[in-house]
Amino acid sequence: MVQGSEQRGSQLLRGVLDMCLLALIAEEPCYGYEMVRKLEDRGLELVSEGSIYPLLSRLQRLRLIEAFSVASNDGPPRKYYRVTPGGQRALDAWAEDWSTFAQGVDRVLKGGQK
Amino acid sequence: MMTENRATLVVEDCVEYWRRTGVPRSAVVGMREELEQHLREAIAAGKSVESVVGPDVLAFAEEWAREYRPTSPIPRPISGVGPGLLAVGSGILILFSLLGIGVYAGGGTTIEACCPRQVIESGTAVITGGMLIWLLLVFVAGILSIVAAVLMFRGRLRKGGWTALAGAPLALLTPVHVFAAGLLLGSGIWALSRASRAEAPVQAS
Repeated sequence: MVQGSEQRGSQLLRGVLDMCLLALIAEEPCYGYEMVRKLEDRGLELVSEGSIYPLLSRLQRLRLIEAFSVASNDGPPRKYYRVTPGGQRALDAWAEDWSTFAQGVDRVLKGGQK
Repeated sequence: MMTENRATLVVEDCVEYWRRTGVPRSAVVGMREELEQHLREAIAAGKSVESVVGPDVLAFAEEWAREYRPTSPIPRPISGVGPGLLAVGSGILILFSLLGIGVYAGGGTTIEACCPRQVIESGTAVITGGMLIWLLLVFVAGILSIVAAVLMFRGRLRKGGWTALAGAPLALLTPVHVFAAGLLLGSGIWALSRASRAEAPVQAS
């Protein structure tokens, strides 16, 4: 049975979600829901939006990002995340790895389309 | 309104799970706020609670909690001289105390009542009421030794080590105090040092 494209897309995203989150945070500091919105704007939908939080906690534990509070008009202060210098270095390395990997997959797929 | 109620319940379920499974209290406060805010915005955007936490709330809570709990390796059964000697020692302690208690309870006044002279040379020792407390302490030391040995065999080195160390002062009250206390102290230190080595962080390559 051929897997649905939505399900396949979700599986692919799961594997690179930490890298995508780090890239979004590197663009500008943002909070959890904002990251989900930005992913959606770029055509990446999560099956479970909350799955970003364990990854954010892990990135924070690895000191790739850090959290800070920003006052909010509707409710308690929001937890924003920003990238650390180590996080920026990790992102550069991951982006390079991804590029090599994606090119390899691309070549395999194009080779199959005869 | 129903979605908001569902969101509140989901947050409460997660918080309870995090507290129950050892997530630090300070982390739970932040996780709760973050989840509440996310659910509020998602619901306002017309999304369901499930679109945030997925179909299994506790699986979601566990996935997040795992990032905050201290890593504890799965205990593996241990074999070695430490717990083995401790198990033998605990058997001796318990046997000795039960022998004395048995003699007292049976109305006998001397160990000779149930043991041949060849086994216990001071066969005329009288088991008095005061000595019963002393024998019970020996019995407790023996039980602690067995518990410690079992914990060590099951790989719970830290718990086993502390249990053995707790039994060491009681073991000093026994006639074989050097042997018993030494055994408990030695195996306790062995277990704790081995546990510390096992828990030492691995150097990243």
